[in-house]
This record gives sequence, C-alpha cells and structure tokens, in this order.
Amino acid sequence: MLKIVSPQDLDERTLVQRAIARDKEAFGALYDRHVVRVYRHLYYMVGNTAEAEDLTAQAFLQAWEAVDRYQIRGAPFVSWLLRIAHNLGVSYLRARRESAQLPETLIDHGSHGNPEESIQRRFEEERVREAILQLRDEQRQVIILRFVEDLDYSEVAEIMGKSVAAVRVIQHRALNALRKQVRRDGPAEAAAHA
Amino acid sequence: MPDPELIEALAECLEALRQGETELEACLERHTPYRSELEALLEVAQLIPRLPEELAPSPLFRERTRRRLVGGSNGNPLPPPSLGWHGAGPS
Repeated sequence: MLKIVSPQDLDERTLVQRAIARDKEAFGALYDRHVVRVYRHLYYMVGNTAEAEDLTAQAFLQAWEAVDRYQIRGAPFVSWLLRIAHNLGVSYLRARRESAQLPETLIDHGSHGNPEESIQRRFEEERVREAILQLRDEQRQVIILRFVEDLDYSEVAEIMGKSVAAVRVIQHRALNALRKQVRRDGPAEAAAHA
Repeated sequence: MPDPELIEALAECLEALRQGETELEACLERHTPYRSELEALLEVAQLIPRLPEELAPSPLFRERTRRRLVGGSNGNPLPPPSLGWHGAGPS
C-alpha cells in the first residue's frame, strides 16, 4: 500500500530540496519549523510585536524568492533564514533612524536590588543589546542562540553547522568584542556625547 | 588564536551559571590563572538581556502568513509588504 508522506514528516534537507524546486508545501513546512526563531530574533532587534511580525513575514517572502540561491552544502537553512531576517531588521532600524528598546515587560530579568540599581542595569543591558546587533554575523548568531534562546552548545552547533569547539571559540570572540564595545560606549563616553 | 584553556574555562563557567550556579566567585576560583579575563567576560555575559521563553508570534499571524506563503486555494502570491520601507535582500 502506498503511504502518503506529509511535508511535516520530511527531513530538513529534503524539504529544502523541494522548496528549491518551488514546492510551496515544503516551504510551508520549513516556515512552521522556523517561524518562532525568526520572529524572536526580529523582536530582539525591533522591540515591537507588530513590526517583528511584519518583518518576519517579509523575511520568509524574501527567502521564498531567493531559495534557489541557497547553497545546500553551506550553512544550515535556519542560519541562512536568520541572516535574511537580520538584514531586514538592520534596514528597518536604519530607515527608522532610531534605536529600538525592548519593552520592560518583555525582558526576562532576574530580581535586582533597589530601583536605582534596576534602572542602571536596564541601561547597561540596552547598551549590550545594541552592541550584540553590531557583532559579526556568526558571533551575533552564537550570542543570540546561546544567551537569548538559552540553547546548549550542541544545539547551537547544529543550527550553525559548526562543531561545538568552533561555537565555543566564536562565543569567546563575541564576548570579547562585546566587552570592548561596551567599554568604549561606557557611561563616561555616553555622558560626553549627551 | 585565543588560549584554548581560557575558551574551555569560559564555556565551563557559562554552563555552570546556566545550570544554576549562583556565585561567579565559585567559578573564578576553579580557574585562577584566567581569573581577571574570565571575570570581565562573565560580567558582560550576565548583562545580555534575555527574552522570555513564551515570547512567540500570535497564532493568527502564523496562520495568516502561512496562508500567504503557501497560497490558499487560489494560489495568489503575497501582497506587497505593509511597511513603508525597502528591506535588504538576502546576502
């Protein structure tokens, strides 16, 4: 008896091959798998639900239009999608010409002492987030996947198509770059430009 | 190339903090040769703002966008984007 296989049951590589061959259902299955991750990445950039949703739709549209240019032997598909999403987010923020902040209610804070400390920490977190968005592509992906998405090393390695050891090296470089950037834009520097 | 032992120490400390170790100091004590470098890196790591786990696009958005991508019964392509700007193409 012939078994009908739903696109949802196919492995990622097969889905991508079918999407490249203009199979919309296969692309729909890829959308189902990755829409939340793409949305969260964009939300992290723009800090607004409606805009993150619009940009997410736009990212998948661009991916559909460009999917035949995706290199199946290159970075994993989700990593390619995140790069499209990030480019869209950067263009959007540039057009808006302002830095979006994450709404207070949508940041997962631990508890921090007094209100003054809390405000200071919020300020520092915003500086760090802006610095993250300026990191090189693979460094930014590692930081967002590891710290924002809270994935372990092996999960990050799989998404990025790299070894765990390589992810750890990138993580070190990214945190070093963040540290330098945050120090450069520190409170004294910010006050000097105020 | 950064020192491989420092990279491992950083990875170990970050994982320990992720698993619930509350004191930075305990981790630094395990890696005294790299103490100052590690401390600076761990401090910046702790300032990275997180998103709550449950943050996700609305079911309505997901369904609507899926229909637009896959095409409904009429298979119409996506309408133009609603935002008044031009996005960057994939690199």
